Amino acid sequence: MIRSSSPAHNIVALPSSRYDGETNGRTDLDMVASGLSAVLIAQRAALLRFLRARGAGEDADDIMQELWLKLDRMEAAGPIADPRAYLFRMADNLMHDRVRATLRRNNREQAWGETGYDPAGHDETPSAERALAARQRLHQVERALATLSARTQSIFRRFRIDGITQSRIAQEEGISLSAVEKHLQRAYRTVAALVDEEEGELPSRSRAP
Amino acid sequence: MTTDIRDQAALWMARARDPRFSDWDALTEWLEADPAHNLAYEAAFAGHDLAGALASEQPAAPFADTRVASTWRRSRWIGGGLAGAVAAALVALVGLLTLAARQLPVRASALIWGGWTLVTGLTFSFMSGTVHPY
Repeated sequence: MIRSSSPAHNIVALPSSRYDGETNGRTDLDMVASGLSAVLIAQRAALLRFLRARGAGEDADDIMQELWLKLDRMEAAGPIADPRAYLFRMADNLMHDRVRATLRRNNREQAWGETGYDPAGHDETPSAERALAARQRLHQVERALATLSARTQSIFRRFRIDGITQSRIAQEEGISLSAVEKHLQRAYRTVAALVDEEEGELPSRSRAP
Repeated sequence: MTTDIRDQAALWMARARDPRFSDWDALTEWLEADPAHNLAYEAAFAGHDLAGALASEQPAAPFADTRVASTWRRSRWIGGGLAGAVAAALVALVGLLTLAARQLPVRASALIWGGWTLVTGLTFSFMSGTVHPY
């Protein structure tokens, strides 16, 4: 989507567009936030459905509330090209954060039960130990990715680390978008397998059929 | 969880992490089809986080190498100094015991001091790992 210089123009057909030309002391930032809030209201049903599909269960409404509050506090980092996709991405990340937080809490409780020691009480873990863990993680990822072709590895790095969009990578490599997707799929399959190994397949063991 | 689901999840993860991705309704439908889909998607998401570690890669390592080497050299120097001091103390003890063979008080104090040094040294040598870390 094309980015325009004026935030108001990106958010068409929203209540905030009424303020075009007559801002009544409202800043662009307010307008961006209220624009997103309007999209949130309009997309409420679709977002709730997505949250439930992402495993929100009965917390789906609470998470919608959280999303709403987040938007309220948000600082506009420039115009948003696709407000709807932006909200879904926020919801996606929010769900992911919740899952990770629950997992961390469970691990901590388990470790506490076993040893009486709280390894994830972040302040108590020596920084040297944390640095070592980070280095081990890096080696682990490098080793796993080393099993893939050089091209898959470089495409994954371009995407994951350099933050280059898939369409741009496709242009650079002179391949189709779906070919880029295939490379990234292989890489994601590999790093996901690492996670499965490490965490005993997350809570999936107990819930998957 | 079948291999097929993991492959599908990896593809959805690849798509959805692209900033231009907009087909969230199709992703919703895929997730709704089977609760195992979301679990596989979460695992791929955690993999995405894990791969972020690649950002901390050092482009070149010579600096790290020299630092390790110099630390090693320094600790070897300190270790050498300590070993020398221990050796000197032992020589002094043996010397004291032989030279002062006839003088009972000197010999007795040398034995007491030597015994105490030996016990302390052995204790500290073997307590590595059991000592309180802070």
